Amino acid sequence: MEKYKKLKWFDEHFEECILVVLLIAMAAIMFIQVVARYAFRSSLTWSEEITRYLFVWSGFFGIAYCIKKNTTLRVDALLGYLPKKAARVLRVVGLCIELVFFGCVFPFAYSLMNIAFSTGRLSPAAQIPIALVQAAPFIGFGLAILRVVQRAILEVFFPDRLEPEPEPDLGELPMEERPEHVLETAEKGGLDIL
Amino acid sequence: MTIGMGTVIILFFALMLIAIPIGSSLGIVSLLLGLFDPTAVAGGEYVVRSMVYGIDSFPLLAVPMFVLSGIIMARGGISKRLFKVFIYFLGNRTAGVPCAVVVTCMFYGAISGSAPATVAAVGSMTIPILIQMGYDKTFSTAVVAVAGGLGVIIPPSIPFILYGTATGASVGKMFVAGILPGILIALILCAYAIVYCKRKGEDRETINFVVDELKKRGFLSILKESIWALLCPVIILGCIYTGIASPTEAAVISVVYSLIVSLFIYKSLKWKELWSVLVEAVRTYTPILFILAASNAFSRLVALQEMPQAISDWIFSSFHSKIAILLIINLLLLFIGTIMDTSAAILIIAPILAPIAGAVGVDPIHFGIIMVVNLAIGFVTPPIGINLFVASSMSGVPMMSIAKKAMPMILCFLVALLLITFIPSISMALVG
Repeated sequence: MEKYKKLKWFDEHFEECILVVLLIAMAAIMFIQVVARYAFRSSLTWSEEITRYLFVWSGFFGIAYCIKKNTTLRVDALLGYLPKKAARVLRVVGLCIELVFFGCVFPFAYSLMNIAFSTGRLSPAAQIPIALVQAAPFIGFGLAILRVVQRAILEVFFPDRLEPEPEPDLGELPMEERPEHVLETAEKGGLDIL
Repeated sequence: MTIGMGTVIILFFALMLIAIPIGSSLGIVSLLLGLFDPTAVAGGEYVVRSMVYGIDSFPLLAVPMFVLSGIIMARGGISKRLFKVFIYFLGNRTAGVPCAVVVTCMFYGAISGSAPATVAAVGSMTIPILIQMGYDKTFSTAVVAVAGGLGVIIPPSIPFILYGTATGASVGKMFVAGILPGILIALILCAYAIVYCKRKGEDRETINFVVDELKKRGFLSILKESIWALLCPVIILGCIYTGIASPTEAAVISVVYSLIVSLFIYKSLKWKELWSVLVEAVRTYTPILFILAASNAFSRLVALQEMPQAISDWIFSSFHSKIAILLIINLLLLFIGTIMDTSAAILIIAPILAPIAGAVGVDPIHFGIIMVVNLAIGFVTPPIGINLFVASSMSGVPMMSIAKKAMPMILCFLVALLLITFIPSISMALVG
């Protein structure tokens, strides 16, 4: 049971943890760069390039993360008008199309990474192997394929376990109607603004 | 074998219609274009490499940073502090309170780069206050939903950053250019609020009581509470305009500033909440990233096939005057804004439309402003107005009733759009 719990945590938060760590790293490196430039008047040469590469990695990890959390942007005007069953069929069809797409680009990402590894090219400023960047689509698409398959299986067999549509953070709810005798409340200091 | 332009466009719309994610739709179309490219420049690896290049950009790093600082600031109840300051100054006039909401949205837009985030942050604080002060619930919600659009027009703005990336226009200049159009829209919205309040009347008794109460406390005590919030846009924009920092660096500075303010000064954020703030930021910006990647591949491949050229040839052969062309482009953008996410729309369409606008003598910076104002109107127009959606789930007023009340304000927004489109100096005066 304990093992299962760990696995579930891993399933929920794997990409998220990596993305948060990447975000912290990007912010920290750029802040160090700003400080270095203005406080110590020496520009770092490697910082800009490294943050860009970290950003590339977060982009490709983000694909799988959005599929998992159901935050992928889409035009779902039609989906809203369809009856529930038809919408579900359409969602499964969509996932199959995505699976074919990621399946098609995956080998190209692999060969792109391979070319970079075999030429051994280094990045201009930080002198790190370009292959470390070019590996991002390979890993990213690979994870995306896993997440699409996972989602398709859930959609077909266990629709109740799916992540719900994301809702914006709305603060305190619900909003009340205007109370009676506002002025008296106000005089007692009961208004939100005061 | 080649794939015709018509096939590609039809396929793209078909994929979007059946709710394939925008990023994957772009990817599928690009892959097909790449594999069947007649010039043989492209290929599968080319498509993937262009995707990497789509994200590999320093100006773009401002997006996650502004998202992060916006979320940190939102936890500090900044919108309420700003609102108090503006009520203090405007409250005594007719429609002073709704005008204060508009100005709060404007200032908040200078902290946050996103419209729905502005609606959520300002709305959750101000709508209950407006209701208590006697304004109609639907009207109050509609004001916030419409004015929330200012979030993307007043700099810093995520759509401006994306437009700069997609077209090569300077993000810093875009930020400068957005100020006056934002103020113009705010003024027109305030004018409407005054007309509305004159006709419907206000509960002056309560409002005056509140304003007097605030005045009794004195300006200094209110300023003390809000100074850190008011300073935030000054610092961000000041760094950019004086050239001390690039927009990306200013974004990092704003992250650090907002962290210091909310951890140590307002103490509205606790250390252990930091992780959830970071997760929220990641959740907010990751959906755009794959679209960024795929749209770069798409626009490169489309350019290889000389499609933008074909589209602009078609537009120039069908319409002859500059005014007609700009009006057509506006209509197209308004339509797209109602069905598609702004970020995605900019990344896909800006590389195609900006050269056309350039050919009729519209500066790329000016065109960027036109584009974003158009798409901002899309935030409040049904069926897919995200601001309406946020405002409605916040206040419990049905979307269509908000849209109805918002109609006159959307018309005001449209008037501003026409002024901004046909008077270039509104956008360009400060750019110099």
